[in-house]
Amino acid sequence: MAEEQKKVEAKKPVSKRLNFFQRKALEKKEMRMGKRMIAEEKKRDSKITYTSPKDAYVSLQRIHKIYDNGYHAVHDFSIDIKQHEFIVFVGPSGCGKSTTLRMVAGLEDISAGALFIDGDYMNDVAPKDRGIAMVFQSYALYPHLTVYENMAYPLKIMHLSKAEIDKRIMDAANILQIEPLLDRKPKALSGGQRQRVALGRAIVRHAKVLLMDEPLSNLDAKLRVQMRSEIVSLHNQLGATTIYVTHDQTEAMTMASRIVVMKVGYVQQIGTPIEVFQHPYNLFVAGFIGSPSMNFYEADYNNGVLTLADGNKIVLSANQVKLHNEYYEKKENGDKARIAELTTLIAESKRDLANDPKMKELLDSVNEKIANLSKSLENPAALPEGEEEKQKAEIKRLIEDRKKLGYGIYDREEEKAKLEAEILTIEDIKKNNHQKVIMGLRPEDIHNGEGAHEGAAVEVTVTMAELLGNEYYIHASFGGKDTIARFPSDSMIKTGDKVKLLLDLKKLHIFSTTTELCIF
Amino acid sequence: MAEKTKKDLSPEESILSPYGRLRLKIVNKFSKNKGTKSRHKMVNYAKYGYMFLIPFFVIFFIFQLVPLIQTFYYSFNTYYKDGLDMVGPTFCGWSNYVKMFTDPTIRLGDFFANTAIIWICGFIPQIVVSLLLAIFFTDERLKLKGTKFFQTVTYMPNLVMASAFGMLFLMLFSGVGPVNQLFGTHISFIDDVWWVRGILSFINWLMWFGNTAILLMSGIMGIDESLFESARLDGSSAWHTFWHITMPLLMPIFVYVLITSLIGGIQLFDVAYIFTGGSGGPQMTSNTIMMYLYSLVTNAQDFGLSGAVSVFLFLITAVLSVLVYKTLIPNYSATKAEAKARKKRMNWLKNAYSEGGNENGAD
Repeated sequence: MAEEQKKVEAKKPVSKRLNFFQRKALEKKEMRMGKRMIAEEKKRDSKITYTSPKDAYVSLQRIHKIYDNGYHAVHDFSIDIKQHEFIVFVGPSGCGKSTTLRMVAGLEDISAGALFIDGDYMNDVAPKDRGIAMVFQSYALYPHLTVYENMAYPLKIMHLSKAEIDKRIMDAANILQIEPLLDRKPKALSGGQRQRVALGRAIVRHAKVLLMDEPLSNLDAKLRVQMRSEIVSLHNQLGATTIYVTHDQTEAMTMASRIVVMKVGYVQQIGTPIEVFQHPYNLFVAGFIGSPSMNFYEADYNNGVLTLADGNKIVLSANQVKLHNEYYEKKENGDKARIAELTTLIAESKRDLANDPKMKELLDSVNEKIANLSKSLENPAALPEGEEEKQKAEIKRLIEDRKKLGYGIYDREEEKAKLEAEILTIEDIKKNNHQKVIMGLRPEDIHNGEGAHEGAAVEVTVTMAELLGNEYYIHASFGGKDTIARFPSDSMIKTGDKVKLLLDLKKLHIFSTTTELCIF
Repeated sequence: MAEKTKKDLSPEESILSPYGRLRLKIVNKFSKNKGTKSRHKMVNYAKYGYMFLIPFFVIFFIFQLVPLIQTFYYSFNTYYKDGLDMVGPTFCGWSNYVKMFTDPTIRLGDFFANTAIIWICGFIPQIVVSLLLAIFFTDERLKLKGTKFFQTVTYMPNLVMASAFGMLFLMLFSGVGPVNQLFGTHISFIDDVWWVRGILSFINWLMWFGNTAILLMSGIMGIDESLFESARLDGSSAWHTFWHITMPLLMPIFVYVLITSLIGGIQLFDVAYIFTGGSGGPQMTSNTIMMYLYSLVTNAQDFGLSGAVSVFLFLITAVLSVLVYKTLIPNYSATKAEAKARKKRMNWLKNAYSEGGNENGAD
């Protein structure tokens, strides 16, 4: 009973476990840590000289966002955006996509890195002088002004003549078909109409860069599809460079000229929709893009043969085996180069640390604490009940703290150790030609055995058949996992039916279990 | 009694907190259909609502409605104390009202002006300071520290009794009081018209600016943050944003503050009474209308006339409140004429730009 209680207690969020004073102390500590992290990042940043590439209209270079409480929201975000491009940032909530957009807009400070718009350094420029316009998720229409006044607001501030204001608003209203709404207030408009007005207010400024922060997420499904195509055609018409944030991968796929996939503050992949779809960089991208998402299976790779959990064997083609071997060759070389780079960086950071006695003292104290705790943990029998877990948790926390400090020494050392371990496993794989992998296959690459398709055939029992009208989502147990396949709805399929699946092995993906990177 | 161990509990009870178990026990004891699941039953909840409203209506009836009607009634009667005898009440029509405006000894206009001056001198700084504080406290970008502390401190004076404030300031500003001693002066504050009025206004300001600031703050915090962000992107300066976005959206709260303050200002009594010792300051220049009413009731004991003054005050308050409401609110939601003019302009615009494509549309 007590054990269970403890487990429940440990799972509670920090804010529930601590009392008021402890919470305040923690907040204070976090703030101090955050300030230090920002200072360190800035110091590191000041050594780099950034320049804007010639063909990039908007250029984000090694952008970091660290909040005052030490939360590192965006890590090392770099992208060069050409003029007239439509870039979509996509990722699950909390991945830093909106934060990045707000940094481009100037609503959030950039902790480190550089932002260029049209070749000008924009980090410290006020939002209004960046030549951008933004559409907010909540539309941000002024409720006390009519649609006309709402759209005229930014123009009046620009001190344009009345005739010019009228012309611009009527042009925008014409494009968006909101002329009959001009004398209404936002309250009297539907969601879709408000969305149009918000777009209108952004385009009347004739800004060179248009930022959109999840503009369609407040609309219902049907309207969303309609507005999606309208925004794309608007973009084609205006030609403004657009950055669009969404959590919806369908929007990303249909609208973007290039997609940026993000996860917990890190960029996962940047590429055209087709690139991201066909050649996902890692497991996350493969699972996130595409609906229904890719089927993943744990598999055993042995000399070009994959063995799934349920004993099914898949023989890879010679080309695929070649790709596999090439990948590891490349990866090993890349890792070695990165280790060399990290070694110099760590030496550099250590030199920095030697020049900063305050930081050194702090780090030494943290190290000492860790050493003391690990020493007492060597003899767990001597500790009172429950103390062992507490100390382990404390060590974990201290190690996390240490990574944030010390000019990234520990961060990099961790990465280096990881890479070194990886090289060992790669050598092992090369020698034995045997490893555990994750196999991925998209639902659309699993065909109905009755159709005219080629592939490896498997017979399975349907555990669930979802009819969408034009197609079925067939759920079946295959490879030890629930597998989803997309079948056309020309023949009736019911739960419990036996069907033949044809796996299109040419479109198979394999991911490394350790790094989660896509091998091919 | 020893508490039951977990083992003794039924599975139904074991998932409940101690309070939940107690509640279950009570429900089981008093429920009519024991053992069975309670059946869905229509309950007339409205009767409970009325039951809870009864205390308010009883108190309102006895202490507010009856005196109110009585006041109206007396204002049309001759009813005063003459020596030890009560005269009236006898119906006299509008004579009390006529007397109120024509009798030169009744300086109603002066007292009203006194009240207004004291209120305005307190209210203008109050609203300015409160607005500034509210904006400072709510601005995320300023990152002020200890806002909670300052909010509490600014609100504190509101918790002190008004008469206590009157007493305190009377002491501070007396002829040999701390203020004179501090500056080494010999000013007789309580004998100077503007000093007295000024101090009264100051006390009013001090007591109420914190309260107003918190009200306005809640109003500003209710405005969608993205509106301000959008304004920032549009290049709107802080001043422009304040006048064109914050203020119009804050108007409902602002009007509420204005009207409550207006009513409070007209009824200004306790501070002024205590500070001037009931005399109304030098030559009655700080005698508020409420103080005059008080003297009518207690000294002259002319209930008829005081009734008439009360009714007049009631009307003035109502008219001013409606006036404030009507003049401030419609400014931001278009009147009919404005809407019509706007529609006309829109039509003209549509014709000018869509049909002929004639961009110099004006004729």
